[in-house]
Amino acid sequence: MNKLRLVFEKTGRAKYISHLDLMRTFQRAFQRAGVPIRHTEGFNPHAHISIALPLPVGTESVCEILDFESPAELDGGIVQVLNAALPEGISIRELSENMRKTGEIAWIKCELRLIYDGGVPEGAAERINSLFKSQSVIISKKSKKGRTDFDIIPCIKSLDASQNGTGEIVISAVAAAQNPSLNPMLISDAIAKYLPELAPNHASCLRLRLLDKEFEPF
Amino acid sequence: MHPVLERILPKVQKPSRYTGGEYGEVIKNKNEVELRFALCFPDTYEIGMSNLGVRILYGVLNKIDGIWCERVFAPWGDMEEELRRNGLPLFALESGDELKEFDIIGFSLGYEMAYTNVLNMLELAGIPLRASERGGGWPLIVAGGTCTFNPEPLADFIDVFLLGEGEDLLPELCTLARSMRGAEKEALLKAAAGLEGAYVPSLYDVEYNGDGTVKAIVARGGAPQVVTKRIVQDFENSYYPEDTIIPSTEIVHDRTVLELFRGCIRGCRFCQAGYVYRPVRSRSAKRLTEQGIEALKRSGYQEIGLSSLSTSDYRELKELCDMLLGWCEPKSIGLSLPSLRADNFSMEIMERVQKVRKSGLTIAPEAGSQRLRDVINKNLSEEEILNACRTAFEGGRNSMKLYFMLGLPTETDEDVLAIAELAFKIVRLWKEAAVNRSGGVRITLSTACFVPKPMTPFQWEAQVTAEEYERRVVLLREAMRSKAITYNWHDAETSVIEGVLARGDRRLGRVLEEVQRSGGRLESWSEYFSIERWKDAFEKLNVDHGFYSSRERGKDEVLPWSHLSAGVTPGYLWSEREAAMRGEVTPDCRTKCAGCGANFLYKGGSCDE
Ligand code: SF4
Repeated sequence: MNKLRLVFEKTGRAKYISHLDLMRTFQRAFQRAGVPIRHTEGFNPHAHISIALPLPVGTESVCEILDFESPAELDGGIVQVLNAALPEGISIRELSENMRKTGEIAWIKCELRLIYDGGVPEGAAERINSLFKSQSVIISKKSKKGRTDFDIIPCIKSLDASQNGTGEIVISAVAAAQNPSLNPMLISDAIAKYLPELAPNHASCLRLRLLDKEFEPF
Repeated sequence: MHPVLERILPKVQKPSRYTGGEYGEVIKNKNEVELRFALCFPDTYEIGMSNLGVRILYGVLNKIDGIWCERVFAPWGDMEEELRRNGLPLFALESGDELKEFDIIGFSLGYEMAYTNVLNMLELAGIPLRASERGGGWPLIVAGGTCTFNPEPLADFIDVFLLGEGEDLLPELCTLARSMRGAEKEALLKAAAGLEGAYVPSLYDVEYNGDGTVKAIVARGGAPQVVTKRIVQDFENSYYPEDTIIPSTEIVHDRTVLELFRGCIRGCRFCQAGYVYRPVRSRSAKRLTEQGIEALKRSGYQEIGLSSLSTSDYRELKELCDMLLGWCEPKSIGLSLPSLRADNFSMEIMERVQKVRKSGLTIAPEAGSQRLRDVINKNLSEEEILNACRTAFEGGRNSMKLYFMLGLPTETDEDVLAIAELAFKIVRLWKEAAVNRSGGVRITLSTACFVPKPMTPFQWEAQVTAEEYERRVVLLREAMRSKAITYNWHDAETSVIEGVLARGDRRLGRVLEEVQRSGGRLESWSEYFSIERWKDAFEKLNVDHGFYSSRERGKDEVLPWSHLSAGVTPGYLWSEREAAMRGEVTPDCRTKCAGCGANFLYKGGSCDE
């Protein structure tokens, strides 16, 4: 079996597809495209794929990673074939040469957009930037045992908010990828908690790049 | 995507069912198409996308140049709330455009409990509910599906009902609408009434007797006195959606589905589908295999299912299974069979198809005693049932599901108790036949309340009341003699409403309106159904629901659907009713034609060949 890695994006309408549904979608896309792929054993065999760092529903990404194994020698030609078999918004960017362990992914560079229908409040970017220079920013997070308090500061390597036009704040951040990970949307929740007058009317998030623990591209 | 929708979706459950964009959806340039059709399914995405009929019509319409057919489903409660709060009208998945922008809106009516959803979806779309309040500027609202064999409760809301199979009729209606663009609505409706199978309710006047029964139904403006359903004449070659939408989220039947035949040879007297889809027309195993393989290749599905009213009756079932397995097995694609009849032949096929899966088996004897099974013409003997169980147990299965109805015509307490008796015999049989006794046996027995349906031999019968059904449930429950039997009963309240709507007349339109107005929607879901809402509406509008459900009709009563025909003659239905009362069975169509009349619809062939 050959181990292979695809880098794909999930944008637009496809951002609402859940992780589990995305797995199913890829399994079927491999079948449709006729790309040979190792199947799981057992009762209900299906194409075996693994997608690192499940993307939260509603977040877009241009740097998702999918690993699979194939009995065949495959080349970059499968990118086109697979793309023709995928739904709108899910698109393979490349067949990656990089086979580092996904456990080495430590940080994710992402971009958060905060939308203010009535225009961005005065000084919002500065106030957000200084909030995240605090010692700790505690939010309550859903966990298996109900809600727990969670300090997000250790999970944020860098954060820079700036105003974009009249109605939008763009936050560029580097957030922890795993152990524990930080869903960047929680940054927006933290703003709403600590700076209620800066709570946006709407927020969206995009994953831009995966980084290792040295902050080098993964 | 609509900017408001972007803000709503993060707040609702399973947002991807509202986005469209799935693999296989059809996108056309709306400025280049001449007619826009919104195919509405009055239930959730997961249910609607599992419906083969929806996929067939979507494909048939989109194949036509100049027509763009899109899909619309009912939003779940949380989504509906967000739509209303944000003033966002109901939209079609492909374009995201609101329904008002469409030329024709077509609803698929598969079950009565979806009626309030039809109204609710129109309201969510900002479209006046009553047909009389929609002038020429509004979309034409049409509806098809099993319920159109008595669509009277919806008569005030729908412009045109399409009776029978829609593959030919729906395109004809679209062609007509294209050619009459800009014409007065009245003129379009009159022309539509000229299409075979199209029923325009506003062209029929209904008069009532003093006792509330229908006196007469009179056609106006050249509409036919009786509207007869359409059938596909050449089923072998009719359209099958090999290319279809593959949802990005899990749906109820997430697999490729083959349609073996339409209609049913059996003639079970309680079964509406068995009468309204006559006559039987099948597809060859060769064609089905080709379609199945093609559909699997194009979809990437890992499972294929067979669908038809009584799959065991498909003549080439063994050949079909062999051919499909030959292709599927090496690729680990599963073949799933619906519940088959409990005869030997079917059991053999089950065994070979489900070699690996020793899952449970489902049998639907429908009635516990032979006498009552004869009344309903369920040609299944106790011996056959027990044989099927024996084969299953000897084959290593240790669970069994049994389906029954309570409240069938002529049912006595003895018949009810016979259900418990039969279940107990099956438990005893297991003790004899089981190969592995360590885990025990599990018999799951379910009962539902029988609802008499239009266009069946039982269309004149009284439905038992909810109280009577519940009494029989208790009787049965107390007669269960083994811990191995789990008894589940469906509630009777939904059945009462289903019964009222199934055989209702136009005067129920006001009730539907009232129920929808007071929040009725998604009522096939127990979390949304409320009997109180219906009771309040009946009371407020002074409607006696028992008049519709628990009243026996006389032979000469004008039934609210007597101007509609599924091809089976009322005389035949009455003679079947009489045979039922005498406990006489009628042989199936393959053994001997009983002369039901449906063959006259089938100009291109003869029944079941
Ligand atoms: S005409 Fe005869 S064979 Fe045909 S459906 Fe009716 S009873 Fe069956």
